[in-house]
Amino acid sequence: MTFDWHFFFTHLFNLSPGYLGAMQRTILLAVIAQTLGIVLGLFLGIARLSKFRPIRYAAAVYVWMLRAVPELVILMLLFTGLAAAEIYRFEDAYLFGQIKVSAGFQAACVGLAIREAGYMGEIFRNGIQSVDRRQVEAAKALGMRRSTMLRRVIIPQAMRVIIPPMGNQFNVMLKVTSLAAVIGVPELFQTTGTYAAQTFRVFELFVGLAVNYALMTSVWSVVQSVIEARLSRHEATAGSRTLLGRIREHLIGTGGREAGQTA
Amino acid sequence: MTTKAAIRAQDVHKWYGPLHVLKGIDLTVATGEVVCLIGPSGSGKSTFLRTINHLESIQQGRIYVNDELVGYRETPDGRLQPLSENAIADARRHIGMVFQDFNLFWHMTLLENLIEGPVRVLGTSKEEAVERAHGLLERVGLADKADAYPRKLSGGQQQRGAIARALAMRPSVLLFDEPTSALDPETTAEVLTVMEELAHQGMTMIVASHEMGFVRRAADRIVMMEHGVIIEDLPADRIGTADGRIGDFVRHLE
Repeated sequence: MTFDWHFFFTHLFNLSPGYLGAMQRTILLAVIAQTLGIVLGLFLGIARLSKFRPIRYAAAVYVWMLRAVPELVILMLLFTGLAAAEIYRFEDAYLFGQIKVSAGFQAACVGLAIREAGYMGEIFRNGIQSVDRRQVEAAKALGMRRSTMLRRVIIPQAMRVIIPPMGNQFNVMLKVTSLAAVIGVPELFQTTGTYAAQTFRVFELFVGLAVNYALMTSVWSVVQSVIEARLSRHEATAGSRTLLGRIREHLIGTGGREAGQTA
Repeated sequence: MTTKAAIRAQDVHKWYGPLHVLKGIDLTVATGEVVCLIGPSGSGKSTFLRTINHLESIQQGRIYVNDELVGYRETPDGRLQPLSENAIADARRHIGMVFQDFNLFWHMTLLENLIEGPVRVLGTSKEEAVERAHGLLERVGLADKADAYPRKLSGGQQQRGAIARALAMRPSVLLFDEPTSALDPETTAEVLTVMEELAHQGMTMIVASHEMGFVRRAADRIVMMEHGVIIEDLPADRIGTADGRIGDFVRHLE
């Protein structure tokens, strides 16, 4: 086996505009899709707990569908399928008349967001249900209306349960963006494929790609640890879990999670 | 003491499914009066207390707080119609409640707990709410704990904080649902002291509690419930000489 180390290292931290642009696209796609997914998921989670049965059922069907269909299929249906059926065709757009947002990128944002919403909806529902009934009663006793209660007490408290899986979702999202290659978005995966076709250095390039994904998700894990540490500042036992411990948990998972958490 | 009624309960009935837990409660509490509610567990005192701010609905009867019907609207033909969720919420603003397990919002500091209601519900300005909150914390002996999170406080401190939170809403009546049952004797004393001060300052209070010391020092009346009905209603100073069921019950407490 020949592994061209020189080639590997020059491409590992490839600072060419093409590669950097691809990385930027990957991160941007992940952030936009995740953000949209969170917003949609919040509504979905609230809908799942609605008093009105039709709303509850519609949300349940959405969640079921999104979890039942592969994300590749969603992307193809959304981008190629809808266009072929002449229902909707994504077109290139220009932001402020300057920045080109390609049709494929738009479709990828939407496709990954509606996929994400399905998962986030369940995470929000679970989080909202985890809120202690007595905290809600205390809010009621202060005369809070439902919307105020949701905004000021229920959602912030549910966040403790929501944030960790939400962070994991973003980790997955960073990797799932590679699927956008199938609808022609020149993100990291597709760009690497193109280089490989040009240079035939498939192994070096894809090992480099793997390292790059690992780098992105690891940086995110550190950020996630900092966020979680900040959010648990009110815990009676906050001091017992160090930031380093949290980071280690996120990177390799030590199973010490439950032990450190008290209600 | 004025004779204006702060709370009037008339023939209040409540069922949980087939279970008849309140069987016609009649109770009038005058403004400034302190009523202690006692009775064995399961007698319905907690449930009754929770119907006053409509945390529990009722199926029959009327409850008025400051002459306003709680939770319902009376139709011309005398039937009760539930108020909207928002109208019920608005009606609770001036009915303070203190819970057995404190229930301070754990994601907020003590100070934030105290300004939350005034700012978000009453529309008080933040500056004014903060200033008042500091005053209230001072009053319950927690001036130095303003920035502490509830979970880092002792039970007694949390309960005093919860009382301050209720007071921040400038309630016209305060309901205490077994406020010291979750506390040890020492912290119970510090909470009772705060409650006694309130009582002596003229706050209208209904207190579900078996603390006989509090009854003797601060209560005007003692009301005993059993099996969902009120079986005794005595001036607090007669409790020492009471006989019958309430006398037995009280002697067992002491």
